[in-house]
Amino acid sequence: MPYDYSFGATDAERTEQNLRYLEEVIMCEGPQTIAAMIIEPVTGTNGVLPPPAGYLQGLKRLLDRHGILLICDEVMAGFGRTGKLFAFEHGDIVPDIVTMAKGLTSAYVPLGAMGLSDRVAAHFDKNVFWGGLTYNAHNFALQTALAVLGVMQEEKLVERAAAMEPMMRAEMERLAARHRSIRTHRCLGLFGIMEVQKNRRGEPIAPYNGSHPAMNQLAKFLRDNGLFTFVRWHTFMCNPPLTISEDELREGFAILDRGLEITDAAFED
Amino acid sequence: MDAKTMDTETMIALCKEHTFYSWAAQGSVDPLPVARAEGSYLYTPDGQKILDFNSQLMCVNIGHSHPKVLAAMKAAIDEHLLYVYPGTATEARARVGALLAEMAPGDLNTFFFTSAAPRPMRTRSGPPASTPGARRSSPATARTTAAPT
Repeated sequence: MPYDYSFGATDAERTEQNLRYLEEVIMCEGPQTIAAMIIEPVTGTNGVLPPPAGYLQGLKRLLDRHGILLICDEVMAGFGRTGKLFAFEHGDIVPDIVTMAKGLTSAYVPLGAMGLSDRVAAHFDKNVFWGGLTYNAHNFALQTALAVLGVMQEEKLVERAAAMEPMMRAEMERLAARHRSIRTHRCLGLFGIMEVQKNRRGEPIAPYNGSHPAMNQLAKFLRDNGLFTFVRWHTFMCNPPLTISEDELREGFAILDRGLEITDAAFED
Repeated sequence: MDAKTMDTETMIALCKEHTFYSWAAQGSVDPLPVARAEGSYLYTPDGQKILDFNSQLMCVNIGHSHPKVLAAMKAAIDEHLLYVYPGTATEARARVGALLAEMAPGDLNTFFFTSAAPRPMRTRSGPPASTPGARRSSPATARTTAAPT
């Protein structure tokens, strides 16, 4: 993690301390005032951050104990990105509600969805759902989703993302070994990110919400050299389509390999 | 006016003059011109091939312009049922609901369909990622902002 106030040194400690802290907040606010808690099972845009081992199971137990529903936001992490259909499956839980979009139609047309557990759905057998929208269940979007889900199943793209993970990690390790400006890296399925540092102490080259001239130059280099990705703060994303070939994946990391000479030059020793 | 016959400079200029870009001070927008996208690549109008290493906004999971999906979309258009109001039953609605219930683990068996990915307001976590194309201004002053999810 980029700026790591520590809840502990091990996953077990981090999980325990996080959940203890959360329970204190719940008790302070009053569990009866909280209908649900929404999480990204793997935090996406803020840095591809999977939770510590055991956290999701502990969270679900804690929320169940207090009668609070768990909503998992799978908009970004869902539909195979992490090598499972939904990222919450890495934690062996099933939430009460799941939200999804993006991969549901691969963005060919806009469509989102909310999945309800039987218990939540049953509540609305007799109670009115006071909500709706003009484009609810848009037929063309659903026809597109049907075709996209068909391709995902036929081409086993969820399994493919999991199978490609070791190759992406190997490419990241190769770059990390070659470039002193690489701080750390991680990926789950084909959900990946690399972090850039400015010195041997491991300080990020740019702070939260900030930038650094070398990162701006890196972004320009990537664009000029035919690689589209997000460059932000001290990080850049590695989230190719789940259909990417091994050669294409290598091509992407080869461009990054050359680009990282820019951030190596900004390394302060 | 046919976009395919428009020169790249005119296309960029009209986009900047008459359309509004997200997450950006309009004066500093530098949009990436794109004419076509297939598989893992985008293609600029001038023929530059760009490897998509972020699936755009982490969303084009099956790659761009998958031929089977394009064929299904064309066939869907010929069925003449693009939109009907939400109180209807349609075959696509029936099939996607049942398929998602089958694919999703546990007892996630009922699905409500919306029109897009949500855009939650986000506090303190800052502005969205800068793409090679879009720059933002004064990020340090952004206290509350939404970000693409």
